[in-house]
Amino acid sequence: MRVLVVEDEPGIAAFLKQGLEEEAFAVDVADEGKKGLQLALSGEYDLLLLDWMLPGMSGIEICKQYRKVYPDTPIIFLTAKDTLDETIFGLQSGANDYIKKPFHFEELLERIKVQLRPKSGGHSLFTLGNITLNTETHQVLKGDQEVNLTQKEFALLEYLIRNKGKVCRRTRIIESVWDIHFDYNTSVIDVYINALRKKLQLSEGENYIQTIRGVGYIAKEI
Amino acid sequence: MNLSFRNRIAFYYMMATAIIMAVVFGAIFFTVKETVWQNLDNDLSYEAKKHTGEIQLIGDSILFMNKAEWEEREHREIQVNPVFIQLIDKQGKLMDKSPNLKLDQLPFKASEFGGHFDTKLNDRAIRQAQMPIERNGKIKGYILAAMSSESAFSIILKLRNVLLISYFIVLIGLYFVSRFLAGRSIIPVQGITNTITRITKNNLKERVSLPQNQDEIYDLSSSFNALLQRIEKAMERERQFTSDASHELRTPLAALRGTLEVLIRKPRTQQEYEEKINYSLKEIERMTEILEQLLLLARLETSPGENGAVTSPLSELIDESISHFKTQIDYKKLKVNVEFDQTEKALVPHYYSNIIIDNVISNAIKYSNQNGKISIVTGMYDNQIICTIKDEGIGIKEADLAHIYDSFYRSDALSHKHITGNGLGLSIAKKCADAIHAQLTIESTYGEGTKVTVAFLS
Repeated sequence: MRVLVVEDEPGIAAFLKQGLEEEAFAVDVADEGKKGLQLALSGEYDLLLLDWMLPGMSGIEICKQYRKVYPDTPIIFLTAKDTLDETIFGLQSGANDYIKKPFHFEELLERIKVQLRPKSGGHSLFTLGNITLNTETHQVLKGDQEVNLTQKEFALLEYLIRNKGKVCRRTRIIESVWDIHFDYNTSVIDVYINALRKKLQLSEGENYIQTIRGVGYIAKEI
Repeated sequence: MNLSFRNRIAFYYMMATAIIMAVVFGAIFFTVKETVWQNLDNDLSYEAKKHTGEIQLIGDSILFMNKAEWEEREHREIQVNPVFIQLIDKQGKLMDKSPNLKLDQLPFKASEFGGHFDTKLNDRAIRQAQMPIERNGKIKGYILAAMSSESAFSIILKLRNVLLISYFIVLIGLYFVSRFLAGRSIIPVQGITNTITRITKNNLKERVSLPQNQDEIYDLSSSFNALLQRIEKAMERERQFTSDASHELRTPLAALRGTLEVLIRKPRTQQEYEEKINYSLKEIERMTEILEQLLLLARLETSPGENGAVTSPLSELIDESISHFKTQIDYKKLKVNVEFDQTEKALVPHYYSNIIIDNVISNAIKYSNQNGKISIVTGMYDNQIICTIKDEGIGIKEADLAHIYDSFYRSDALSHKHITGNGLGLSIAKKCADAIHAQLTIESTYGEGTKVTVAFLS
């Protein structure tokens, strides 16, 4: 899951990035309005966290412009503007949620998860063979056994399972799991896939994560 | 008197008219009365004179010459307004009289010598004239002429009644008409009152509707609207300030809470804990500074001019301020030139001048480049103590100069993120300058530096 944070206050941007990365999100930060919009429109983000008052361009403006191109991507406002009028105005500009500063990080996290919850069925459980992935509790089970994964490994598995049956190109995986500062040329993705296979203890007959040579990976039921 | 506006207007109007009408009616009444009496008297004098030529004096007795002819005419004609003539001697004894007097006799008043007066004949009002009859310069007797004055009296009486009745009718009518008109003319004022009552701080956008005629009500409405405009602007400024202040405090608070919440979610290394705690302490310091400056602003707002009595030499304040910022000056390797031109002993209000000088010098240091130069010059000019603080730092864009005194405004803050500040310093300095009637002037060229001039009253 890839998140864009547009926030000019370095202290807030820093803890958002750290906290969300520890929750297996890939986080990009823009500290200025125009740069934020540019990034939002160029990258494929699963969610936007916007401040209202930004240098260059206001969060409202970013929200409106972004909505024209991406009508479905969730947008959450994080702002010190706290009156009823402002909240209503913010939501009417196309935001999905409006959180007032100062906020609790846990609450923000839950609200982000709510926005990312799959719409059909509304569950947060994904399965691949006998592997179960729970995005709410961040748990991965193989059969009854819990598997301990790092954040990046979890994010990688989540991305593959969410796109079960579809070929996932390496560039798309990197865009979704790592942030933009990631060096595309490294083979780090192969290292993570190997680690994932090892931790899940996939045997000969359980080849759920398959390599498509020269393209990427695919997760599928056997 | 506690009368409503329209009753008061009607009352005053009525009183004024009552006085004018009383004068005019009085003049009419007395003029008419005078004229009627004058005519009567003229007629009587004429008759008396005419008959004076028709009398003869025989010894002591005075008689009419042609009494027989007169009596005959009396039988023949009926006079509408008969003239009574009577002759008496000096002692008032009846000598002769006109036939129409029959048995009656006109009264003689010795006091009314040759004049006219009102009296009665057979209980009927008459006007009488009495003229002396002279022969060789000696008064031999009197001729009395009289005429009924009843018709004249009734004319005067009728005139008086008509005038009195119309006086009261006009006044009462006038009172109600002017009350009605005054009531109508204050309808727009009542409209304004209704609008004003309706306007609270929640609907300050509402305005009094302007009448079509550009009259006094129009002036009242438009000046009231101008007042509302000013109040609305002031409220807007107030609201903006509160919103800015809350934003300025919420942001570090949000950063602080978030950082600590993320920190406590997982066990961290010693180094990370120290790093985050140091960051948090810095945020707390920043918030404390904002709070102190807000308090200072509020204090300046509510009681400007307080603490203005204690004075200090300006040179001392500048020296103190420079040593206060010694660390920053050394860190940036700045060269600070100070020049006191005959102002070593010039006294300025300590409290406010200290804040102004501190803020301006702090800005000069903050926005100076590494190894930059700051020159501080003081001097006397036109009975003012002038202090100029000039830096060669980043300067202020021309378009931003108009806003530099606004609270929380920072010119081009994004291009120099490493320079911290909350945009309150100059706003505080400006308020302090206003409190001691000093003048703060800022000239700046973007990229070349800023020159701040403070002119204190000496």
